[in-house]
Amino acid sequence: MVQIRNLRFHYPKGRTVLDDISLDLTPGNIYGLFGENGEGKSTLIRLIAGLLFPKVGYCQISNEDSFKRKVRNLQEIFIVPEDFELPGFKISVYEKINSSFYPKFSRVYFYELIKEFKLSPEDNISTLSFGQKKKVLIAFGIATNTSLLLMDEPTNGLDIPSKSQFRKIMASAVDQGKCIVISTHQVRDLHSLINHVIILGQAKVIFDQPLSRVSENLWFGRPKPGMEDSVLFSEPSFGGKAVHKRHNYEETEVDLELLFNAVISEPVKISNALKNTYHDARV
Amino acid sequence: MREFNIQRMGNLIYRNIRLLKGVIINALSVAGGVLFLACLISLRGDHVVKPSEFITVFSLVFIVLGILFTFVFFKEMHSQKTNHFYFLLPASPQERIFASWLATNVIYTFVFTFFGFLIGQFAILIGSLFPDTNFHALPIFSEGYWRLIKIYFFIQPAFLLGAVTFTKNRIGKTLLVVLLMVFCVFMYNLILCFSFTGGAFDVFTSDPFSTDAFSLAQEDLSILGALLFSIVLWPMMLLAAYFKLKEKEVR
Repeated sequence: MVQIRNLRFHYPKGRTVLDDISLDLTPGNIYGLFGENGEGKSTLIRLIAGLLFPKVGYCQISNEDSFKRKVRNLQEIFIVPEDFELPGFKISVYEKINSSFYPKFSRVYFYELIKEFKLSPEDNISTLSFGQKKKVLIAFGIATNTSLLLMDEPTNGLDIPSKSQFRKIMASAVDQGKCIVISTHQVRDLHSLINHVIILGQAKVIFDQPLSRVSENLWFGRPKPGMEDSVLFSEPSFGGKAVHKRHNYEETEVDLELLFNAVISEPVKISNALKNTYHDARV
Repeated sequence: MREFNIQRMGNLIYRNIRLLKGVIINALSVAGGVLFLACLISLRGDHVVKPSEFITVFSLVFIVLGILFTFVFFKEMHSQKTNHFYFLLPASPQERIFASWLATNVIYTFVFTFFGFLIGQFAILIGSLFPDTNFHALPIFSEGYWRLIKIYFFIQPAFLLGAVTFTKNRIGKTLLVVLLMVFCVFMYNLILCFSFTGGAFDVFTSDPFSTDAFSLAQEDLSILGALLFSIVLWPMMLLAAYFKLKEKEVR
């Protein structure tokens, strides 16, 4: 679906934000795009959407350069930006004036999601909080049924119950034909939602692995006696939690925050631990 | 997938007008107030709204509002909080440019003419309640009106290009560019004049020969210039706006 090859990007008179990025994003997956502040997550999202143009390399959606912003491609992309402003209409009016542009838009689904987010079609958007506006946009984005849904920090502005509600809705929204990319620095918010992790660091992709491979090869938890040799990364602030080579230990749930810190601190060790493994499982 | 679809263009116009509903209502209220008062004032004395009196105020309001409407039409495109939605809305650049031109030029002309007529006629109706003033039709379709429509039709695309190109201080920058262009044309003319006359500038005297020369030049060259402007320049402006839109990035 999305093919990025040798992509390089910098803002005018700025440093290189993304350097030699190559990625393949396929339908049926929810990708978590992580990275420290300023590592180019939002820039990459914009490049995928075609809002920015690569300086070198290319980014294609269904074999078409995304920067060309062809109608066919635009009908298959929806973006939930980090910061946005919605017009001061009723939700139903917002739906009416925008939905006609998306051939696969489902009104029924949209109003179901609106109800699930505890909003009403008669609510005026201008009177809603930022978090509620985000819910309107997320609901609209899901209801467009585009095959590529890009979300930049979608959980910013959501309260704690809304974050779990968001995870539940997103999990139900993914199907074999959809590819969802969620960029965030709040790694914990995507717990049990994503099935593929991409981490950006120093303008490059330093980690790009399905979670199934991570859980097959890495073990997360407090080290047991005799595990000292297999420690790849440990962090005292996590109550002594560490990342180990899994060997024959039982499978553990992937601790995204610990994995993120491990990749940032020990990229080579983590990468080596995941090498020479088997299939690239997908959802 | 066709990159130009009439229905999608219609949806674009409808969407933008809905987005700008508040602004349009406010602007029309102010314009309506100005036109109404102007018509009432012109009823004083001879108790009739003359075409020249109406068109003077109508022209001013029509041009100012038209230019403002053109700039406001691209507001979503230039705001950092809304430009994502603008550029990712499934519509091609040609649809966007044609839709905005149609809305801010053709549709605007029809709607504002009708609106101006209604307001003027209403002012005459109110005026006719007073002694000595008879109800009469507003003389809107005068020679001056058609000249105004022609001028707006041809100059508006230049402002549309400015509205697409500039991100900040769009009106000011566009006016500055237009003024610079006028100044350049003036300078060019001056240089031509200087090179033909060797600096003697005898043509500026009241010699009948120079008057004839000016009349001839005006007839021949002004018609040519107007033709060039109408046939070449305004479509060029729209074409330039199309490429500007196509190449626009969202930072």
